[in-house]
Amino acid sequence: MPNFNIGLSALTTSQHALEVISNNIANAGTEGYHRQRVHHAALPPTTIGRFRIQTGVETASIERIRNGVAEASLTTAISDSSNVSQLLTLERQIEAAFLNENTSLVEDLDRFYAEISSLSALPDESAQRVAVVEAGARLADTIREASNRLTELRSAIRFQLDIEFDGLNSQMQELSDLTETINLLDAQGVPANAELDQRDSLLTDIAERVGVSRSDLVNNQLNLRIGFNSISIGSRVNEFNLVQSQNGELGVTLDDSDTPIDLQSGKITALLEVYNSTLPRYQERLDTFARELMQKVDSVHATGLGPHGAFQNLTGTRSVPFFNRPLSESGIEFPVQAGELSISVTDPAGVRRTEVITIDPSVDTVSDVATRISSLGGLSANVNSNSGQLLISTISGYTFDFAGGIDSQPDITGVSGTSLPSLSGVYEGETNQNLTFEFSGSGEVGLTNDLFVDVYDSQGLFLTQLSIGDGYEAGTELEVVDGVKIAFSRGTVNDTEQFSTRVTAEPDETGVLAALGINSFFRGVGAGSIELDPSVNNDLDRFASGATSDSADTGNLFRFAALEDERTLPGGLTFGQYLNEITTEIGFEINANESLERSLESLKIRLEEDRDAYSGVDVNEELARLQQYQRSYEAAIRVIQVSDEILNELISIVN
Amino acid sequence: MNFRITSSTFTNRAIHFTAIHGANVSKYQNQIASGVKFQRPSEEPIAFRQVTALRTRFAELQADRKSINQATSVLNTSVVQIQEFSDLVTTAKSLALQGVQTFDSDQRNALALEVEGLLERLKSVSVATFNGRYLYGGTQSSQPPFEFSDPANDGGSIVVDYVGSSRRSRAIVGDSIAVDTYYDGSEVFGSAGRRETVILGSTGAQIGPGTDTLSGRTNLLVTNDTTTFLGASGVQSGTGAADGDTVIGQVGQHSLEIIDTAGDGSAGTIRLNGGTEIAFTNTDTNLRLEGPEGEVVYVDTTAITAGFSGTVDIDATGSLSVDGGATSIAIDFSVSQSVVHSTFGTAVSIDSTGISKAGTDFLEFSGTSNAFQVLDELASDLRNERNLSTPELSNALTRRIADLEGLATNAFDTLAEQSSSLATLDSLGFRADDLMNSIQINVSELQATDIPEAALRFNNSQSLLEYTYAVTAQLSSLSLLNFLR
Repeated sequence: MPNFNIGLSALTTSQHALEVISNNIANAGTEGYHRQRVHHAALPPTTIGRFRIQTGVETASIERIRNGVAEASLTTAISDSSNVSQLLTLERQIEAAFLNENTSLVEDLDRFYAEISSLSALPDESAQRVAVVEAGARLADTIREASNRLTELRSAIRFQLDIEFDGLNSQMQELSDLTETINLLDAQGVPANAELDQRDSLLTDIAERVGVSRSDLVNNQLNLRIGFNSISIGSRVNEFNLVQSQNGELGVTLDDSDTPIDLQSGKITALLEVYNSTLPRYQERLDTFARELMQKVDSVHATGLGPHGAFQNLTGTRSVPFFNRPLSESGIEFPVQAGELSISVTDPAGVRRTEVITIDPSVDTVSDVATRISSLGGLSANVNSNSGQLLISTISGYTFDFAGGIDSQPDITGVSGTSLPSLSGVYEGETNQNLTFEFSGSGEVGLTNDLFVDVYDSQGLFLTQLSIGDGYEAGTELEVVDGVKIAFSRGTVNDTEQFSTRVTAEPDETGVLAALGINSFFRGVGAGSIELDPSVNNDLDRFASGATSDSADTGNLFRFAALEDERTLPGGLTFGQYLNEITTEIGFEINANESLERSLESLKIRLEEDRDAYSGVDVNEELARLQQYQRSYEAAIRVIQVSDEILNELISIVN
Repeated sequence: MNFRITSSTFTNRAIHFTAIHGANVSKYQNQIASGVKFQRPSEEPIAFRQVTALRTRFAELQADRKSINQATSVLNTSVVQIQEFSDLVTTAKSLALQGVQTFDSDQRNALALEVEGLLERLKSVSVATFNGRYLYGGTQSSQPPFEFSDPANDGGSIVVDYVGSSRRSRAIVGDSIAVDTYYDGSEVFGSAGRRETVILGSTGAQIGPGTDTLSGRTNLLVTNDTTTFLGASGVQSGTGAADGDTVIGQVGQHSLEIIDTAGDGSAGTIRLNGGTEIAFTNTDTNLRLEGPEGEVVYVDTTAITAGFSGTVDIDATGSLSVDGGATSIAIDFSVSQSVVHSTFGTAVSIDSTGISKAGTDFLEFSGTSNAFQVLDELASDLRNERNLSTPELSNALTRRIADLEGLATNAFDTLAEQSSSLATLDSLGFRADDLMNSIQINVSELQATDIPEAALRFNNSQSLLEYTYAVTAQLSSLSLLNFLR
């Protein structure tokens, strides 16, 4: 009798093969799909007489073709590539915060200095004064905008991290579910090729988020590590938690553990790195720049005068949170040094005298400072208990300033002669001095022979001797030292009598004026809050361009301009150099990461090629096999037809 | 090389290289279109840092250039004004010389009128402005620096108040370089420097020791306060003595010589300091006696001691004033008496030892008058308002010429200083231009696109992109399907 089963088995196995090939072709472009191969096996023979005749063919297995080594490397490369790619995205945003198409911090800083320089040539030109103030406002706005961008970026990263963690934990749940299904199918002896493809695809997705390291074991088991942590992928689902430490840094914990884990690579690691390290570093630098700029500019501004003139009242723009504590512990934003603060008070007669108060921040509170100011004639100061701001005002007719310089009249209480000294000039020394003048000889100014004045500095060192006797024209100015001039009226002087005066180069040795925001140019305490002081904005004559209120006095502009070359920032850098360093550094980081990204991308493509060379679907190859199994199928049909014909012949013989 | 190449491999490779070549095409297109090779630090970190530093320097130089231009304009305007000032002084000097050489008062009056015209022009120069700002007010450039008023008293000069600042305004024009722009007017138009004080008159007062502080010119008013006749001659001050006596001096300076010709004091002769003998009687209550130097004393001879014939010493006190009598001090006949002007608080030292009679002396504080006062004084002297003798007038005009020469020196000094500043500014300007040019070249070398190179690279990338597309299309079209029926 003809055996239909052999043909039938051939027909069935060919059909299986055709289906597998068709599926390969259908999934040729499916992400994570591994091509499958059908393996056939001959059926066992049956013994007929003394012969053993085989009984056909069967489908032995459908193999999922996979290169474990290449795919493990690829998973790591995907993590690294995703990490660098995410870093680059964020770093480019940091770069844009400092430099975008419309604004550049360096350019705005340059413009500020340039306008100050120009004002020195056009000191009483209101348009140029506007330009300086506008340039200052723009600089403040740009700093604040950059700071806000960084802050917003940090918030966005925080939000993105929440989304990424939700996604990661959801993927971990999915991974667990898949693993259970695979284990079940394995137990049933059923190939779980589709589920394994899904698992590989899922692991690729996870690798984009975190650093994944995988080792494939027998029976489709998998040893998985995320960062340095082994992950169980059985029935228990690991949960990743985003936690915030006391210092504000974000970390990752696993399940109920409090110990932070390192995810090593992937997008989340990049987000965490930028959130915890990169962004705060640049924020801190921008803040350092802004604070130093405010301190320096405000110190110069506070100790100068604009055409507006001296003040009748001033209110500090910077608050002191704990005004009854010593300044060093008061929460004041800018540091205060121990030293002297010079306050010049002009009385209704126009006589300007300079008073000095000493401040020790380790002992003195801002209230103490207010009390000391109040003790000076004509002045009153207090601290607003609600706002913590210092308020200074004068009694009617008096004005005050912090411009230092030279008093118009020295203290002559120890002099009994009738000649009156008067001081003038611009003090060009570098330190504050108490100059003492001692008469040498008695007689009449401009008349007596050998009549002199000896001048001594604060330390009692002899500076110079001035002749005021015969040959001196009373009332004419004599150069004393460093731009200080003195004149004596006609009258008598007495031997060994002394008088003294203070000449002030640095009115505020302590930095307290900038710290409290007294007559400041900027307002705010950091990059996020810096802005132009509205009082300057509202009254351009408040801009302290001079050492006096003369409209063309450019004395203070030179001090502003000198800030450009002052190396006060970390590393001994100027303001411009510091900004340049910041932008260059982020530029280098981006540049290096771009190179790394290109390298990782190439590696990833090469590994993908390796993977595809092994497990990818080559449609032409599948078509060739399709041809092969189509022929097999046709041949099997022919075998069945032959068997059928033989059987028909046999039946016809019987009939 | 892998043996098996899948269609995915072709696709991924095509996508990968299309992206690379596309990015390059975009990069070079951007470089060519924008003209710069990089715009962000990340594109060329080192070059970007260099360019930023160069741009900062360029901004500084640009600001310096702007200041240099501005300061140059101010100083150029000022130089023109100072040249005008110098010309005025030269013209005034010429007029003064003509004044010395002419004896015709009408001609001198005409010269004085010309000088007054010069004074008005000088006033205009002193309040010259640039861009609405006063050039000679120092740091107070927003208000006229000079105020003019009439002399405070007879014999004084025009009063000129400088209300500007004694400090010059300075402009930043380079690294640690500044130039003065708005000058102190009191310095520019100020006095040339005190010389000797001159006194003209006949009172016998002389200039004392020490350095005076009064400036310009003023009158020294010497007045008789009291006249006392010593001894028992019986002569007394006449009724007009208070207003008419001009004798001043301690005992021994002045004396009367009386001869009682009647023998009973009823008549005789009397004379002052050996002057002309005057007959008197015992009815004369206000007899005017004049000495050889013109000194005058009024006497009452109604009670001449009978038989008195002899000499009577006179003790006459007096006062000094330099403010027109507003304040005065008693003459103490010392070598140094400080006479203070009550308005200005300034003083002159007078040697009063030789004062012998009252009168008005003229004080000139040579070299202390500012430019306006010198011209005013020149006009006054040309008119001979002090009624000086011809030699005195000639000397006075010569002193005015010396004053003018001092002013000319001041003008030249200012001119020289400003010209020097302008030369410095010129030099700084050229330097700034050169540096800016050099920086632009450096920036261009660092940042500007090398167009031919970029175009070549652009073409290359574009070709590669086209090849990628072409080869991808070719490979995609090659399939077994094409051969299957």
